[in-house]
This record gives sequence, C-alpha cells and structure tokens, in this order.
Amino acid sequence: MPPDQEPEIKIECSDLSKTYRTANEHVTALADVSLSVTSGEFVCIYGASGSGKSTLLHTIAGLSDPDSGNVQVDDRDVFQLTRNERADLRRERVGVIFQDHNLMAELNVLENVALPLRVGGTRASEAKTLAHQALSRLGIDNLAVRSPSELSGGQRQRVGIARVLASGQDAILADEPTGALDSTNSEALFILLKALSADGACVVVATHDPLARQFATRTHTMIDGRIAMEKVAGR
Amino acid sequence: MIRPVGFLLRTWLRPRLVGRSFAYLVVGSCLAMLVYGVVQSLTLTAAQQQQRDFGSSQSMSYDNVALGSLGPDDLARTRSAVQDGLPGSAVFLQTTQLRPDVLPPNFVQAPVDTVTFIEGADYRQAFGDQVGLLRGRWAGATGEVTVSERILDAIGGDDTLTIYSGRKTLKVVGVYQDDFAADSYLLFAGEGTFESIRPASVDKSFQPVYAQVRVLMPTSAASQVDEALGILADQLPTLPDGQGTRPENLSGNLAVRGTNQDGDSAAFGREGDVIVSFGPPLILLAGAAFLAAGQQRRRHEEVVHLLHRLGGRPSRVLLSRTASYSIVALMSLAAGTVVSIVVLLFARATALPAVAGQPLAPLDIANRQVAVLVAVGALTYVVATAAGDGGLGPRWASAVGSKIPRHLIRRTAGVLAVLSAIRVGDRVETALAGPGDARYAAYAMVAGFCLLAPDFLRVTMWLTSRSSLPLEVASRLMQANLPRFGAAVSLGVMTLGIPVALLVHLDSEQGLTASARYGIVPEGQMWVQSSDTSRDIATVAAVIGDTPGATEGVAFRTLTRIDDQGVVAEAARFSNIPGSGSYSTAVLTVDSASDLARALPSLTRLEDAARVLNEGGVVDFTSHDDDDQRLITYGQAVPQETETPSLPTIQVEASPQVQLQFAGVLLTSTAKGLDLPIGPVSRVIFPDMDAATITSATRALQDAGYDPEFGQYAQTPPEPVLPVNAVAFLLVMTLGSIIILTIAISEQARAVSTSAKRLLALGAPPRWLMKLNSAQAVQMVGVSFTAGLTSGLMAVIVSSHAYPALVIHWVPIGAVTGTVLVLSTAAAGMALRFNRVRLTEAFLFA
Ligand SMILES: Nc1ncnc2c1ncn2[C@@H]1O[C@H](COP(=O)(O)OP(=O)(O)O)[C@@H](O)[C@H]1O
Ligand SMILES: [Mg+2]
Repeated sequence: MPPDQEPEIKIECSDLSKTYRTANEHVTALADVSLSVTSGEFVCIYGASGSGKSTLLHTIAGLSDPDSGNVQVDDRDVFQLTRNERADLRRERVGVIFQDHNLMAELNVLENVALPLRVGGTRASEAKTLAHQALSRLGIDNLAVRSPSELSGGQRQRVGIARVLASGQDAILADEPTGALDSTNSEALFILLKALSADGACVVVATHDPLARQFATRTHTMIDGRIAMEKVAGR
Repeated sequence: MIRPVGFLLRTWLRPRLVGRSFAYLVVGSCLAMLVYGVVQSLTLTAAQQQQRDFGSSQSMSYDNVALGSLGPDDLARTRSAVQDGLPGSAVFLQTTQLRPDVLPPNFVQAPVDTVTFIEGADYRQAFGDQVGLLRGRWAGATGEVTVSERILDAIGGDDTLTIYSGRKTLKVVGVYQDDFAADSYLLFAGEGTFESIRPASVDKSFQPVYAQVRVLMPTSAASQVDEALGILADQLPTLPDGQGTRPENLSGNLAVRGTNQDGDSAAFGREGDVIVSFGPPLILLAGAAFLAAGQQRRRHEEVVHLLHRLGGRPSRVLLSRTASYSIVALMSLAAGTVVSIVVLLFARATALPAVAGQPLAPLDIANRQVAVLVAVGALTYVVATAAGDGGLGPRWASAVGSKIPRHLIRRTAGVLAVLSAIRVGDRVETALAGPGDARYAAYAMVAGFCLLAPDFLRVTMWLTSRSSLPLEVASRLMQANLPRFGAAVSLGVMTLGIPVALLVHLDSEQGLTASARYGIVPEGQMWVQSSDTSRDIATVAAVIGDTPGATEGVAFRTLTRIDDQGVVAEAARFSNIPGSGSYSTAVLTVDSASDLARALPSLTRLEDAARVLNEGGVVDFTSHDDDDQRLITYGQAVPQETETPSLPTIQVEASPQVQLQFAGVLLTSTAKGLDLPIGPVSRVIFPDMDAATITSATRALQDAGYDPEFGQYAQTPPEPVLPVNAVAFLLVMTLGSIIILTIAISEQARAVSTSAKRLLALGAPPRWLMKLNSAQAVQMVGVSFTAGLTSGLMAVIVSSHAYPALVIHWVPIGAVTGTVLVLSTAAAGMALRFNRVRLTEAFLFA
C-alpha cells in the first residue's frame, strides 16, 4: 500500500527514564526524555556513542521497558499493551531499522525482507513481490538469494532497511542506518527516508552522520541520556 | 611460545566457552560409570558365587561317586582319614540328582529348580552360621531330613518325602531358614541316607545318579589341597571303566575351581549368563560426548577466526585449542567418575543391599572396561570438537573436518549398520550363532537408526515445511542447526531403541532358558528320549505304547556312531552348517513320510515334504536359502570327511522348539542307500496323547521300574524372572538416556531462542512464536519417538530368530516409551517457551 493512504501516526514519549544497573555501576541511559513526533516529520537524534540513542528507539518500539515514563502511539500507551499487541505494533506501525541489522542467518535476503509481511499474514507471492520491490529501491535486488553471512556490512544494513520499506509501517525508527554505508549510499538513503516522510511517514533517525542534518525537519542532541537541545530545521 | 600458548589456553578454557561441554561430559561419564558400577555391585564375583554355592569360602575339593557305589562305612572312613590329615576340615556328600516325587514336574522333567541334598554329620560345621533352625531339629539319623521352608511348601507341608530313585521315603524332622540358598532348594540329610538309597538299575534310570564327596578345608590349610586329594583318592572306591582315575579327576576339579576363582571378577558385559552388554553405556557416553562437542564447536571456531584476524599464529591457536579439549575431557571425565563413585558408595550404603538380596560385589574401578569407557568418551569429544562445523573461520581451523564429507560418512555408516544388522540377524546365521550375535545385530540396528536420525528429521521437515509459515520457519531454523538437532534426535532414538531392544532380549533370553527345558515337547505329545543316547529307548517306548489310549509311537534315529569307548557321537550333518550354536545340527531319520507328518504336524508344506522324502531327498529345518543340501560324514578322531551328492531338498518351517533339537529329516531307507551312519532309535514320539493317557503312561513307567523322566511331555514354562543386575542395568541405562535426552533437547531448543528474540523484534507476536515452538518440539520429539520405537522394534525383529519365542512384556516397554515421550515433550516445551523469552537489554548488543 502506498504510504500516502496510511493514517496519520503520532508518537509521544513523556519523561522516559532508564537506568542500567550493572555489578559495579549504574548507567543512566535515559533521563526524563520527552519527545513527540508525527507523520511527515524527519527527526534526527544526534549523540555520542553511549548517549542513549538506541535505548530510546528500542523503548519507543516497545522492545525495552523504561523505569518510568510512557510512550504513546496514537494515544495508546505502548506499555499497557500486551506483548502480542506490541509485536503487532512493530510489524504494522512502528518499524525499526536495527543497528545490528537483526537479520536471520538461517534465511536468505529475500526471505528476511518478506518475513514480517508473511508473519502478518500476507500471501507468500505478494510478500515476495513487495520484498523484491523494496530491494530494488535500495539497489540490491541482485542479492536476493544470498544468505546474510555472504554480505558486506553495508549490504546487510540495506537489507535491514529494505525490510522496513517492504513492511511499509507508518513510523520508521532508524538506529544508525548509515553506520556502515559510504557517503554516496548514505546520501541516497537519507533521500529515500526523506521521501518516505514527505509521503506521510514519521521518521526518527538516531545517528552521528552530519549528512542527516540536511534532511531533518528537527534535530535533537542527546547527552548522557538527556535530550539536550532541539533545533528546528530551516536555518 | 609458551607464554602466548598459556594465554590462549586460558582463553579457550573460559567457562563461557567450555562450561556446557564440561557439564555434559560430567553427566555422561557419571551415568555410564553408574551403569557399570551398579551392575557390577549386583553381579557376584566368582569367589562370591563359590561362597554362595558351597557355604564357607574355605578351600574345597571334591569327586564324584555313583550313588549306591559307596559301602556302608566308606564316608565315615574317608572322613576320619581326611580329618586326621587335615584337622578342622569337613567331609560330606552332596547331590542334585535325587528328587522327591511329589514335587511339580519342573523339578523333574525340566530341572530348573534343582534340589540339593547334603548328607553327613559334618554339614553343620561346613555351613556354620549360614543356616539357622526354625523348628524341629537337624537331621541326624539315616533317613532323616531337615528341609527349607520352600521345600516344605513344594511338598505340601508333608512330614515325609519320597525319592524317585529307589522309591525311598525320608522323614522330615525339621525346618531351617533358607535365606542362604535363595534360588535353589537345599535339604540336609542324616548320615548314611544316601547309602540307604538304592537307585534304579542303570538301564532303567534316566541318567546315572552321582553324588560328590566334598572336603572343606580351613583357609589356613589351602596349601594342603594336594594332601587332601591324595587321601580322597586312597579312600574312595575306584571309578568305573572309562571314567579315568581318581587322582586325575581330583586335580581336574581343582583346576576348574582355580580358573573359576581367577576368572574375571567383574562380570559386567561378560557373554553368557546375563545379557547386559558394554555397548549401551558406550553409546550413552559417546552420545553425551558428541553433544558436548556440539556445544562449543561453533563458538570455538568463531574464536579461532577472531584470534586469527588479530594475528594469532595458526600453530599456536590450534595447539592451545587442542590442549584445551584434552584438559576439558580429562577433567570432566575425572569429575564424572568421582561423582559416580560417591553416588555409588552412597547407594551401596543405602539402597543397593536391599535390592540385591545378596552380598554386593566389590567395587572395581581400576579396570579395563572403565578405561575403555573413559577413552571412548574423551576421544569422541576431542575428535568431534576438532572436526569443527566447517564454513566458519579460516579453513585450517577446521582442517580435520572441512574437506571430509561428514554427512556422507555418517549416512554410509548408518546404512551399513542397518544392513549388517539385517545380515547378522538373518535367520540361519543367527540360528547357529546364538543370541550373542543377535544382540549385536540389535545394537547395530539401533546404532544405524541413530546415525540416520538427522536425515529422518530432514525429511520430516521437508515434508511438513510447506503446510504453514511457522512450520516453514521452524524447519529453516532447525535445518540451519541440523547437526545439533540431529544429535538430539539421535539421542532420542537411542533412548527408546536400546531399552526396547534390551527388554525384549532380556526377557527372551530368559524365555530361551526356560523353553530349552520346558518347551521341548509340543502340547498333546509324549516323547521318549534320554540324555544318554546309549539307553534302550525302544523298550521304554514299549511301556508307554502298551498304555491304554496311547497312540502308536514314531521312532526317530540320529546319524550317529558309537565310538571305541561306547559313546554315541554325531557322525553326519548338513554340509552347509558350520559349527554348533544354540540350535541343533542333528539330522534324523524316520521310516516313512507319513510318520513325520504324524509326529510333527506343525511343520509347513507337509505334502511337498512327503514327496521330496519319497524321492530320496531331505527336509531341511534350518531355513538356509542355499540350493540342495549334501550330507557330510566324518570319522571320530580324524576328520575323514565324505560328502554325499546333493539331495533334493525342501525348506520347511519348523517351530523354534523343533529347530532347537533337529536340523532336518530324511528317510531311513534313503540314509541306508547313501551309506550314512545310522544310530539307534533316539526318540519315540507319541502324537495325540490326551492328558489322562499321559498321566497313566507316566505311572506305567514308574511301575515298570523306570525313571518316569523317560517319558516327557509339555510343560508350561514359568514367567521368566530377570536377574537383579540385568534389571538394574536396564533401569540405570534407561534413566541415563532419558536424562541425556532431556538435557539435549532443552539445550538445542535454547540455541533457537536467539532467533526468537530477533523474530520478536521484527514484530512476530509471541503467540506466533508459540506455534513455531510447538512445531519444532513436535517435529523433534515426534521424529525421535517414531524412529526410536521403530529402531527398537526393528532390532527385535532382526534378532528374533535367535529365540524360540520372543517374550515381550508390554508394560515396561510402555512405561519407558511413555516416560520418554512425556519427559522429552516437557523438556522441549519448557526450553522453547518463546512467549516467555525476556527481552533483556542484552538484546541491544546481541
Ligand atoms: N544491557 C545493558 N547493560 C548495561 N548497560 C547498558 C546496557 N545497554 C546499554 N547500556 C549502557 O547504556 C548507555 C546507553 O546505551 P545506548 O542506548 O546503546 O547508546 P547509543 O546507542 O547512543 O550508543 C551506554 O552507556 C551503555 O553502556
Ligand atoms: Mg546505538
């Protein structure tokens, strides 16, 4: 389904806090983070490594529970949902591009991309067509039958992205999506994400790639778990 | 060189890398050792057996005397002479060949329960504290006996008992406590009792009745055995012709006793008496070691890869890795052994004595069998780990495994094992080789199924994967981990296959022993035969034939010859039958084809058989597929073999009971024409005898002064009772396999939970993962279960011809099967509970 027919999405985080307790120290990954994004926005979250970007994205996607605060997607509290419903939410509304790609080593590229669709009940042939389309958009349709272990880091990253494209969720949370890409491919990716947001998707990118700034409608900076600065694009 | 290798070694030995493998090896070796230790504890050593059989462990010497050949004072004179020479020794007579005639037929015709008579004033001294009087008094005078409670029960509480031989009635004067001889019936008789019994004349008794003169010497007199022998030889009457001299006999007996005592004290896995085998614990330990290797193989390859990339030198990396395997193997096997010893000692102090009902055998850990167990465990582990998963890391890291087509080897071995099981289990081979080989065939069958199990799993996945997405994904996940899942399934096969095969074997082996004694004569027939072929069977048969209601007997002769010493020996047999086994090689002759049909109506193709017999051919019971049979005749001392031309042959199916006794039949006239050695009548079969006629025929025999044992008829065998060590073997073995299987399944399933996390992150809901989880559990358990049960049944089938009849007790098989099914399903279910997978934050860095 083309994105413009999708309903609007609104994600609202309020006062998210999260502290990791290890044997000898407490690490504050999130400290009273509040953030709100809606369809059509391209939000960029900058921050040094270890500042809490991944934790934030995972919390929004319902993958990790905060110590306090809540996340609302379209006025539904994510952490009030059952685990089944949270999974449905990730598959249908909030897609994640993982920093570590999260590919199934046992499946080939095409199957990896088609997997969420199939899990959602899409027929195999249709899922396959959508997966091929997504791979073509990223220029890696030729890799369809390879297994993830036979890909370079950048190729793997693009497979992870293609998977979100194929699923067509309303919101895309991208965790360092250009970490393994060269500048040409990075730019192409940001153009693609920008196009998606222009079509009505809600895009949140955690990155430290300066290139992203040009595409963002809004940028935040994270320092030690805090959202420190907000800068609205338009200069 | 040393320092970096030391550092690398510590890297390899990190608990995260080897912890699981270590635990596996500890559990596996502990279980295998426990199987060994428990069985060994419950198996009497030769010395213990001797002590149980003869009371005290004193040195002992004995010789046979025919009952009735001792003069009135012979025993007393021998005793005083022996005791003069060897103070403190005891002299008494013992026989198992006298039987009270009120005892049930199994004491007589099928002497499974032997009655041991012990006579002489010295028996109390010899048996000492081991027997205690319950009521009455000890037998003292001639003709008195003191019996055990079991005998009292068997003779119906009577206060007299009558002996078959010589029809002598003895008086019961007391009852003693019979813990001592739990599996035999022992009674003590007053001095002179044996002498007062005049057995039936030799030609009328079923077999000559012998007693043994036993001398028990104090242990301190062990060096004086020769002296005791000399005194015995002087005092006892000379032996009849053809039985050698007393000094010869005595030293022969002594030698036998010596070998018995020196015999392998650990009877574990020894051929013969108890069918427990070394194979199953070896398979168990090898299985555990294989799983242990599987736990770390991939991770180790990743580390090799990493170290290599960081500049680790291949030689050092590999050296340290191999060293780490050896260290893990040795330490875990040592730990397993120590744990098993502790458990064993505890069991021996608490539970085992109650189970045993006998003294426990000493614990013997330092012997060859334990060494073999440890070596097999260590080798399997080291080789399996070093073989690597292949595909990961630099090629040299899995040099042992990368180029070898491992699947091909596994499959070839599996197919070969199955084929050889079928071949060895083939009817003729086994019929002749006996249950020993059948057992190997059975284990080969189970091993073959274990080796092929991964392929069964693969085929099942392939067949089911198209039916739904969860099944498809489940299959893909398992396919990628096939070596691991395959190993778990193999273990499942073993867990069911071995107990099923073992149970049937144990029971059937017991059944064989019973039917070798009970099942000789078919229902509704009476057979006249003698253990000693020189008896005149024909006159005995005439007594039965004259009984009102008796049918006409069919006489069979054997192809035998009487040698110079008057002994009847087999002199011809089928050409294609090698040495002897548990089945007979005896070829019989019968006067007419219709006689054969009358005597053995259970044979198949009787009409065709009659035609072939009349054409001058042979009827063959051996089920040998070969063409026509020939008969080989051989001489006594020198094998001067002559062979007949091949004869028209018909294969006829005979009951195993018949096979146990005959290999085939031809007409007497044919045998004469071929100039074969034809012996005297060896069996007369009276078909279609009703129970009343059998009873009166038996009485007629007795009245004519014959041992009634000459006339044999069908007996219902008692339910086989498994020896306690065999039961223990089965129990510990089965429990051990189930434990390993349970761990294996949960372990393999855990490996899949990483995939579960990934799927969950992509939006696969827990309920969907549940389906996937169930699909995997069902496939794994289902394939293990089906293949395991099939392997057990196939094992039983290929080896079934070794036994006259398979004895199958469904209850224990059902119990084992049920336990395996429930436990493995539970293990798989618990481990695969994806819906409970906690998405820990560690996932972020997964
Ligand atoms: N499972 C964990 N256990 C302990 N500390 C963690 C865990 N996950 C993340 N952290 C810590 O939380 C902080 C934030 O991590 P993360 O969100 O991954 O940062 P970023 O993605 O910005 O690099 C870091 O200091 C990291 O060390
Ligand atoms: Mg991060």
